[in-house]
Amino acid sequence: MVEVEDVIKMMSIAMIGDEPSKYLDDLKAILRLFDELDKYKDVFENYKPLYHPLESRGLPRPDKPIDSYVDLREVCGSSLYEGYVSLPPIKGVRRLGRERG
Amino acid sequence: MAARGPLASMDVDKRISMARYEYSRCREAHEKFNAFITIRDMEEVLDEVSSSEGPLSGFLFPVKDNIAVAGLPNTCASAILDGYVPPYDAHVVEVIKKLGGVVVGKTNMDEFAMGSSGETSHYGPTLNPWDRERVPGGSSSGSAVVVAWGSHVALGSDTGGSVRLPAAYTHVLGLKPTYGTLSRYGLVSYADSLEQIGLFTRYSLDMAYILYYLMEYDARDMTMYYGSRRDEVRNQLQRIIDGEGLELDDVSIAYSSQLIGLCDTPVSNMVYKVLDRLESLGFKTVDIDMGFVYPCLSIYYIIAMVEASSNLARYSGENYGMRIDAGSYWDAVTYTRSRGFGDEVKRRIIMGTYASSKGYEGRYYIRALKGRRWVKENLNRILREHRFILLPASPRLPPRLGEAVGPKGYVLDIFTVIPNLAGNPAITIPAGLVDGLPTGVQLIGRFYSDAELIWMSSILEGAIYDPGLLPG
Repeated sequence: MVEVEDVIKMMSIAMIGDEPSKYLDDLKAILRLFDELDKYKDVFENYKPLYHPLESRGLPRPDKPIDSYVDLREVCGSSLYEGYVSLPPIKGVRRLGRERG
Repeated sequence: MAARGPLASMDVDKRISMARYEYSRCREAHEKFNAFITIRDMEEVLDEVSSSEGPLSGFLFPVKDNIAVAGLPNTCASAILDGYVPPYDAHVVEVIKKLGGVVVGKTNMDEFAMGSSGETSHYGPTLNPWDRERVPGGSSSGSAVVVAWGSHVALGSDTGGSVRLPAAYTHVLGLKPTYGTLSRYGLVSYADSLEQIGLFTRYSLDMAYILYYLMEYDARDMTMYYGSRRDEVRNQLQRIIDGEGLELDDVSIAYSSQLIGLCDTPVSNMVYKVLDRLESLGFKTVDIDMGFVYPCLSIYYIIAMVEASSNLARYSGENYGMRIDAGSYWDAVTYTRSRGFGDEVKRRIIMGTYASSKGYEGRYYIRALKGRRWVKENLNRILREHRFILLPASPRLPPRLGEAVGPKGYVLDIFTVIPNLAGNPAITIPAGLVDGLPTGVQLIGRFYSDAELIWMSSILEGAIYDPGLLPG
């Protein structure tokens, strides 16, 4: 169930500053709609997520030579998780927040 | 008034006279129903018509305000984009201009295409020309209204029914093409994996003619389909334009009496009347179980809101439109987004953020994506056995103003979200008036059956609706 604290947290992440209680009833109604999927969890639990209706890697553009493409999986060296590609750290970029302490 | 089709051979004076009439209808739609956010001056438009050359010469194009037209404001009906003028044309607009068409203005819409009623616009609601107390449907409300009021064609975008729902509520044709058929380059993103640029017309011939040209391949949209099926669709469209038509053997149309039973009585009566008419025209209709439709609304709204929360993160006041200065960067962005976005947009961003956040992602977003595959498989299983699926375009007649704002209006999309989840094409075909209010049915087809859907609408033109019927 959505509570005011959840709304405040989500609004802060989404950088929206507004009166949270103004949205509470509508957000609860939306969450009830989302929760309808609980009834179907056993129906499609074993299906693979479908991120895109064509579900194919883009075909090479006819106006670009095939050599100009790189296979992202080779660049990353590995992991494909649920359609997200893990990229290697970019050289020369320091994680400021972590290094302060 | 008849279908336009090819006009290139028409002499300049005749073209200008037709454009002048059409412009006057656009201007009226703007003044009476708030159909435009930006409308160009008549002299400027007619000057361009007189000097235009090409197969689209003589066509005026109202364009939804989330499709970029160089030099015209592109607000997406949101305060946050107030004052933003794109320096480039969307691909479809490039094609229109290249082939002699003229953009007449930018049409009103739900803010960032989030809405089913045409009421969430920062510039005020669009009114239904059949009954000014009722909504025209959304989100492409202005484009639908302007075609209903006398324009031949308008561009919209369809994320979960944003072309097909207003088409039904204003008594015009509305097509959502197969995903990847029209380039999305220059279409402001709301939910990329669901949305397509779509078309409104009153005549099937115009629909075939315009789609034939607009489906030019564009490498800038990486999701655009490039292959032989594209040529097949264009060949079929060419046959419709040339008057040869298509030969579709053993057409079987699936419907679900269970789903039709969920609609208000006037709507379900209308759908059965259309089914009777189809049978009398020689088509086979088959009542089947479509239980897979029930969770579609939840699946659709989770995916759409998650994609929206990501896509709309770019509106921080740094690059586009409104910017409110404040003490710190964080305050400036927060104030800008708080004042710039309307309530419906904020609701969707908040819930999209929630459904994709750590701890909830698996329960909502990933589950919805799994459900999407299940829906697609079920839909295509039916479409392997039957050539089309017929559903109501909406479970209700056009609601009164204020009745469909916020989550209570989501149910209007129950039948239109299905093809967006799967990527299939679908068309709304008007089905006449009930108690003076427009109604429509939706035909869903197989991938790349866009021309077949338009051909079906041409068969039904005159049989179930009169395309020359105008409100008022």
